[in-house]
Amino acid sequence: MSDVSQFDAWLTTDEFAALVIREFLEPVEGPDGVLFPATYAAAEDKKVFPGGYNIDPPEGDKNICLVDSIGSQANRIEPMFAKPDFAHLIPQISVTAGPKSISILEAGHRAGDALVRCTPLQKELQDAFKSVLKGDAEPMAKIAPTSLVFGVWDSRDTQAKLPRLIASTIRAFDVKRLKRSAQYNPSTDYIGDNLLPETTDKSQKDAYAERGFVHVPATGSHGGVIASGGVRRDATLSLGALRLLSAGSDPKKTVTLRRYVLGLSLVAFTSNPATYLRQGCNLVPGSKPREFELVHADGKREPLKLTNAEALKYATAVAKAFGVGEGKTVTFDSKLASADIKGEGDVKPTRSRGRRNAATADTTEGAE
Amino acid sequence: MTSVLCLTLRFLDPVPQFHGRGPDDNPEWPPSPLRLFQALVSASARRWSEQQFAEIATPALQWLERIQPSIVTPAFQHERFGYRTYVPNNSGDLMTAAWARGDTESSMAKYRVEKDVRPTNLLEETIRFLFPFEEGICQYFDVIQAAARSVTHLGWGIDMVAGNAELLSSTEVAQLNGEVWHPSEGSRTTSLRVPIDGTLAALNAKHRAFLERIGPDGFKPVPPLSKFRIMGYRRAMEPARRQFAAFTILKPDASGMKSFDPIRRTRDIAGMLRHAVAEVAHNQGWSDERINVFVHGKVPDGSQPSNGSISPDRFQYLPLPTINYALKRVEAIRRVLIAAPAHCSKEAKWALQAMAGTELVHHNNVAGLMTILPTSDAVLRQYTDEARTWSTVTPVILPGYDDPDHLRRKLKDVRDAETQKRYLARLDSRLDSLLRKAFRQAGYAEDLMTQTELECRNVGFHSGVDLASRYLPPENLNQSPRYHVKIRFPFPIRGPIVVGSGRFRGFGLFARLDES
Repeated sequence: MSDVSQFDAWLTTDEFAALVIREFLEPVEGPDGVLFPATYAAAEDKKVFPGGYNIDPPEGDKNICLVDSIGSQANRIEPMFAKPDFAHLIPQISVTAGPKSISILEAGHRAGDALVRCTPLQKELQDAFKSVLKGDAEPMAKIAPTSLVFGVWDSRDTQAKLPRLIASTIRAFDVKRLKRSAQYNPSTDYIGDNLLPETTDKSQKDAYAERGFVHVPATGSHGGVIASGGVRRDATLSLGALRLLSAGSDPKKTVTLRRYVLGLSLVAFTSNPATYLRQGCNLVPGSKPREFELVHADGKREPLKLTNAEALKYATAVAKAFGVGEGKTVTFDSKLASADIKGEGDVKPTRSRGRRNAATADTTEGAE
Repeated sequence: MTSVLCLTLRFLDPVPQFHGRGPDDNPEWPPSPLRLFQALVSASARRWSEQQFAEIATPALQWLERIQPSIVTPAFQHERFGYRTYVPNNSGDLMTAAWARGDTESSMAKYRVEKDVRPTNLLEETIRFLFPFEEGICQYFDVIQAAARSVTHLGWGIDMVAGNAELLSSTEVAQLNGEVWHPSEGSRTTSLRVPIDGTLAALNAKHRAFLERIGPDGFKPVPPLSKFRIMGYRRAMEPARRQFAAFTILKPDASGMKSFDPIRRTRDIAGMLRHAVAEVAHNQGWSDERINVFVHGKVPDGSQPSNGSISPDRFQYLPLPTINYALKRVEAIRRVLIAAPAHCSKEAKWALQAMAGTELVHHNNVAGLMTILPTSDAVLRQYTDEARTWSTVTPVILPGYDDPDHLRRKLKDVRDAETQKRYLARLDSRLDSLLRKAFRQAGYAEDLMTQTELECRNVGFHSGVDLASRYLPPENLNQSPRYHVKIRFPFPIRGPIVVGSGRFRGFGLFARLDES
């Protein structure tokens, strides 16, 4: 039986700021294997960023390459709460729309997503957000607790905003960029064998190439990187943000709520999320052990040891004490969606977030 | 005795980055005091309920909003490399609209929008805001510490921080590591938003207006926050920017620009300019003492030059060789600058107004006619804009002899490699110390110079400049050694930059150097 009060000092005093993990990873091929980081489109000003891997600075041997961003890591970690080992920790809520079924864990904006707002849960969620605004996060923890862990902003309705507690990023250090070239060969010589007419028209030639009827060379495309400085996952759990959660003015309920959210956070925090990030980027823990530290408000750091199994044990105990909300499967309601759309009108994707008036900038400007 | 309230924000990411942007949508650095204040207000509002907020947090925040803090920041990479990512930007509405139409195949991936990210990469994790107080007691310390420890982010939602507050003595403040930024009325090197008396009330009103923006009468737009001010911040080690008045030299009949050879005529044009300024000042009623000091750089009775290293406030006369941007080449002098110390804006304004239309006279002949040059002039900006790397267009005249022990002469007779090496090292060291002395005399802080890379030689670094030894210096400096110099500062510095013994007469003038 896990002691539910073992981390109460983190939840009740301002002395503790955060937990930080540094996990040393390596490609499954070995530390010197080639890995494929995420690619990004060119920035508006191509001089600023021409597109491709995010390597900073772009030239030289000493650099940092972004392998998986905070938003991407959150999207990989959150669905773990639907897996059998962890499913008992949170209410499992799914939305069905025709043949499709989507878990709230997969909705881009979590409890603030239009997907769940257009279901019979609408009122319950709106009430939960209103309670958050009044300083009571318990109703939210009963319906969508991972929104408290990974952050949420009900930007379409109540404007309630909760900061993320967990941030995780994977980076590669001192990378050498590789290029690769390839040649597409058609199965037969369509033009030489008179299966297709020969042409000098460029658009026709392009159409042949596009459909695979002619040889197509591809040169100088992204060929991955070799990280001589290693690959590392840096994860942070903000205890300061966690302490801002309360269950109204009831101190006992507040501690129970914080324990529950801490339990979920610790499970997510200590887990090793998906090792397969994308083709050519399969990362596993390396030989160097992970570093785990408790950071104090005054900057002091002390080593800490907590395994995922221990975190799960704690989370299970505190979830039981809190009382996990009831799981539900709800149906997407087209009428509610139509009403929701009429309520604020259709929204076109904004091309630039930068046009907002700077004076309105809050301390949490971005969205993942 | 404590005298400073220090609010510390530590970025939790082991690879610290800051994503906040300023009002112009460019990366903001350092983070503005208004940003910190908003973070504190937000944290306090979450920590304390409405009644508690009014009773506990409001007096402390109102006290804080009236103080302009200094900022201590970690060093950072000046070059920022952005990237573009695609995010779900409140576009769940579009997907649900599609679903409402029966298109359940529609997915969020279709509605992602681009977002450009340009982080500021920090070399360390800690930012400090220093609020001075005079009474010796910070009565709101406990409240502000609690609020600071509740701050979770500074910048974007991904910029997670841990906050803290402590009281420091001035000795402890002096020992803090990092770049120190002070509010500076005179030189707006970096403009930052700062809270003022009433900012808290305005933030509260804005928050209420935002929550009530949709009412029975429809949508009411929320006005942007206007209760703050823009203030200049300057690094403590950064030299204050000199004031200046710039002019084009026209032919006497104003039929076109007049050109002068920078190698032989720099000293002449500086002399003509000084003479013209003295005459105009005299005609406009300046006292002889003031003219002797401010215009001629002499002692008040005009009997001798004032000491160059501790000279009082005075004008500098800087002929500007044209920099041909297309050919990247230094060419003839066609412009001049009259520069004055940073706090002498009145004198610089006077020069701009009084000298427009004045003739430059050489041996009783009119050599040129001065007209006002706009500050947007592309050539002028090569001298007055901001850059990290600069190099001379006229050589720096060193404030001392670079070989007092006659090592160069001795070197001719020395065959021993070790001795040669030792002599050369001593020569280099002497040269380096003289150059740094020249910068110190020109007002560049010791701290700044220890972080600065210097290179010097007889050959110029800009295309089109001649050997340093060929420039004709003012006659009294004829025997002083002179070199072309390239300097790389740890952060961008604004021009004009002019150092050395000839700095009042156009020698030791630097132009931006394009490192690419």
